[in-house]
Amino acid sequence: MLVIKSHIQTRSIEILLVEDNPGDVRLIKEAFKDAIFPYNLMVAGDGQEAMEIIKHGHKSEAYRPNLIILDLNLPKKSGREVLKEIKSDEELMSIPVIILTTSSAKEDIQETYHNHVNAFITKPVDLDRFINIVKSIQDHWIQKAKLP
Amino acid sequence: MSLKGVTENPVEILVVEDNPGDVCLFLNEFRDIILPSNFHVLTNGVEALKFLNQVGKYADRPKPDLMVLDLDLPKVTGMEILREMSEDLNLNDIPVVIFSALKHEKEFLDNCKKIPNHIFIPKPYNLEDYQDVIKSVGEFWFSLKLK
Repeated sequence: MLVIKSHIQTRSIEILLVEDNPGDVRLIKEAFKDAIFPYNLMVAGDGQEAMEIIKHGHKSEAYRPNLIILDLNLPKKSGREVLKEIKSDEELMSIPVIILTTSSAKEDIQETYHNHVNAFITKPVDLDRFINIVKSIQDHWIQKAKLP
Repeated sequence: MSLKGVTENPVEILVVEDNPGDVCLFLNEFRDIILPSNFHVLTNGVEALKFLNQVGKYADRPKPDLMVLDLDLPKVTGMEILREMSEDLNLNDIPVVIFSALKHEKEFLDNCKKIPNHIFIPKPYNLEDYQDVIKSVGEFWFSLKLK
């Protein structure tokens, strides 16, 4: 009997985290440590750095994330700007962008969906829920989904 | 649309799928999830667009909190629906989970520049993996602890 399993992630997944809060960066890194798939988590501390890395690579090597986790309130260039730039660029627009932000403002949700965000998540205050959401991102977007 | 916590108001889920077996399986699995949900099932693209645009008999229908969409549909395809939605300010904030056979992956990848905000999940072949996917949909989009 032929048994076909749903796809198992074998390639290393490049995740770009754009987050300026060191505490949140640490939490997200911790949540990723149990991941059962190979991955590389790159962190950019502001929107400008994020776009530099995406457009011009990292340490003179081309870099293309498979998934971007993006905070909204960032120094130098906001997450809103980063989202608009990515989703209006022919080469970058198919990269899934998940906003992970303290904001729950309806205007932010609407604006980012109109700018083609893939998902908008308000960061839970509760630590366990925060970690569960990050693990849920891993499960849903990396293990279950087919990423472009 | 942001993730909801455990909610007392039912979530509105639009399922656009023409295979009755798949509809049955999806509804059965999703109903195990701790949350009140209203499912709206449509079996072709024309009716799906009417529902989304609240036209005719769908005038009073709610805007979905989530849409689960097969790409392989009669009359109007899933890709055509997605293109229309992405250009419509009233519709482009509805999260869509494309839940379709793996053979449609290429079609999705070839066209995902035109629909830059979606997720493609291949339909699993076995029940256990299928249940995992439904659980994943519930956990991610509705932030729940499941049974």
